[in-house]
Amino acid sequence: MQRTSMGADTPSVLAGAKRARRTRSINRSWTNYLYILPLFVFILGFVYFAIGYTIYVSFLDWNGFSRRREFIGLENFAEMLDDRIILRALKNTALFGILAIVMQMLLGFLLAVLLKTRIRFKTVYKTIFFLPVVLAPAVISYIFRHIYQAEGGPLNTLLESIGLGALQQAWLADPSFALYALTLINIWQWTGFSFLLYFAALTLIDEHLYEAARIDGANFMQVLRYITFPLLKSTHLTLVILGFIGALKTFDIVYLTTGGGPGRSTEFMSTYIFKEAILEYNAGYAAALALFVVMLCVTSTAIQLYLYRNQ
Amino acid sequence: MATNRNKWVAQILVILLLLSLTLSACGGGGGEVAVDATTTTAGGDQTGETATAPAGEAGAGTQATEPPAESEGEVAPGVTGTADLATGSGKAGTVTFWTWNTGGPEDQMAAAFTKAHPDVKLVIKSPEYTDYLNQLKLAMGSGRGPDVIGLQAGGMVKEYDEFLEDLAPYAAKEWGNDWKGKFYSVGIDQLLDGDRAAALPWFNSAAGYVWYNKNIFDQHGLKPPKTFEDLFTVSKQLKAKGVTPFVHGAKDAWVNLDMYINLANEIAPGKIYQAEAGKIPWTDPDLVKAMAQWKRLFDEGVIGKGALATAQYPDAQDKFFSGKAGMILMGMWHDRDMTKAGLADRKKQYKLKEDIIWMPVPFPDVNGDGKPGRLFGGPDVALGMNAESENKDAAWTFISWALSDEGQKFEGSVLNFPALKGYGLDTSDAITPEQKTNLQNQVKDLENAVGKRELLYPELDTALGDALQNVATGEQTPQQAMEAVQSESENIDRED
Repeated sequence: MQRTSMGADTPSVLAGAKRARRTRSINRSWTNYLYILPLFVFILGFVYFAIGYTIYVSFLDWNGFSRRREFIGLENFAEMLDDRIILRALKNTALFGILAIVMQMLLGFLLAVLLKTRIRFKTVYKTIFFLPVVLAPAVISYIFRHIYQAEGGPLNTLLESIGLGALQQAWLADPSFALYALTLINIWQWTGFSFLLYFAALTLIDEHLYEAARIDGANFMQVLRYITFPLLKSTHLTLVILGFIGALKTFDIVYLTTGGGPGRSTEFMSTYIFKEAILEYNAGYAAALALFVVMLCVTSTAIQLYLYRNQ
Repeated sequence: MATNRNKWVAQILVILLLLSLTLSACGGGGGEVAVDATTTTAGGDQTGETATAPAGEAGAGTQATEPPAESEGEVAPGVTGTADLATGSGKAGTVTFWTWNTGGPEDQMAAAFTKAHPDVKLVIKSPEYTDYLNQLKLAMGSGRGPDVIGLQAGGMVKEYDEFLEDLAPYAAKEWGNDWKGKFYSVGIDQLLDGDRAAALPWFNSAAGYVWYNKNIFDQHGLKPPKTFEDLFTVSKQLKAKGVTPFVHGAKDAWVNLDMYINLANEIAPGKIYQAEAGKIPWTDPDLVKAMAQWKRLFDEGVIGKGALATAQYPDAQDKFFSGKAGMILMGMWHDRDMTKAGLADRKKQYKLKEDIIWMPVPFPDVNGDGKPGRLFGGPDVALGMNAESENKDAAWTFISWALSDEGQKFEGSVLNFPALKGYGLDTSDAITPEQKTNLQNQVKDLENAVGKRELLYPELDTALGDALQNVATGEQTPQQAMEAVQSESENIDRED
């Protein structure tokens, strides 16, 4: 009886338990979605909607606020093919990006390796190296505009005082030097970021590997080359991707120091987009330029990730 | 099961995402922006606003009207406190005014208006110029623009024209049919399109003066340059004394354009405006010659080699008003620096120990005709009325007050050049008799202006700005630079 009773009850009990589990599971899964909902709405509203709207605007001849919006299809994109300023901006971005990324990675790596040794005042050094990263671009621009001043600027004064007066330049006013001067500002500002990432990654490398290498007789450079450097591969890639996207997005320092000039010698895609959209009232063309930058970012990141995975 | 459900929900989210993209891409495809004209205050962002409270809200209603008809007997615009509310929105009697330049101390101007019109609440928003452009674009595009809009003649009025009420009928009602004659022509002419007045000049301004530091010139026994060659000679002499002769913020296109317009108008008065209209090419020999003279300023050391990374504000201005440079190219907008109040401010700002006398002189004679350069300018700030405003009467009350005897005297008192004839600058606070005379004579200089300062097409501004910098650095010859400008000019749709 008891067995029978149990036998009769068991399926219903199990079914009840299943239902309860399912309900809990449903509740849990919906709760999970609720957790991500704010972020989802935020991304949807502020990123994807904006991209969608930019796509729409790129097909228009529109000043950005008029009610007259003429649909012109792909004309804005066709116009880009003949635009020599884009080529100049891309060339500037590429040169700026390559120099900045390489130098920031190199300096950041070396600083991180140095600070991994038994050096004193590590925290002080770390703070000093990272400080420029948190400074506002407006402050940095102001400081460097002063440093680079052609007449009586600290850099030229220093050069003169050490007998290198012949090297004095109008750093930001001369098209031959302005882009390099900007690159230097970027290197100064962001090396601390590379350093921090490398420093964090270095702490994750197993100390036994170094010990084994030393037992095998590897010197400092060999350890650096055959152990440390290869094991930081993911950090290298992260910095390259972030650096490349950062170069494409660079605006504040350029706008606040040279404004893209003299002429177009320090024009970047971002400053060019700003000028077209705000100063020349060409919102449609600026949107097409912006989409081009988005495509560049997406494509280059995809290629870099693909190469990384294939390695 | 749960995994399937998660997938299902994730798919819905993805579909939603795609839908949102599609909708956003299609949004507004009707070609028109819906305009919500019910909100005429400055929106939620009250930063930088000054609001003057009306003395009493009761009876402060104004009527939102169409432009006044020509027939007699209609209620003249600008009459406030007499009509019923048209919309019942509760905003009647409030006028929002956005500008980048409030025509003198904002609080004083607002207080003077409120005193004259206690029944109208004035809400001012005055961000810095570039921020103003951004904010105004967004506001007008979304139908949340102010009632009264501060405008710059030229490209800005052209771009906003569709949003602007024709003020000609209002002006005719207020001042009679010959109302245009009340204004200095240098101001009003740039805002008229046939009989339509998209805006009215509030106060005028002109560029084309070379300001010099009299203390420095006196100290070295020098006279301000009367000819272009004098400018080179004086600059060499100042340099020899260790003084920066001429500061110029060549990083900024606008001040380079000012210099170029000066040079072009000296060499061939008015030709630059013909080129702007597409009637002659920018490669005209006189316009190329003007570019070559611009290049000389750099080659012969009048303008320093670091100028292309120097902004006119604040860099060049700081150097000049801190007493470290002999000359600068500016305009009437610095007249206050010839007054005791202006000097006191500068002394405080730059910790100056001595009184410095700054004076403007006409641009030196370039073409050798014995006549100095003429000013070029127009409305410094023009006032437009939002065609979608629900407070048009209140808006006109403010505009007509700004152009009233009281409003124009107020501008003269803060050394903004009034837009109406018969009003000049208040010279009572000038430091020296020479400065006083100079301020008085500026009326004639303005009436004798050779043309406008703001070009109509932003593309030309950019092309000329690039050309001037490229010539200064030697990247292009004057001929090449003007060919590039001409190429851009040919792409402009002048029918628009």
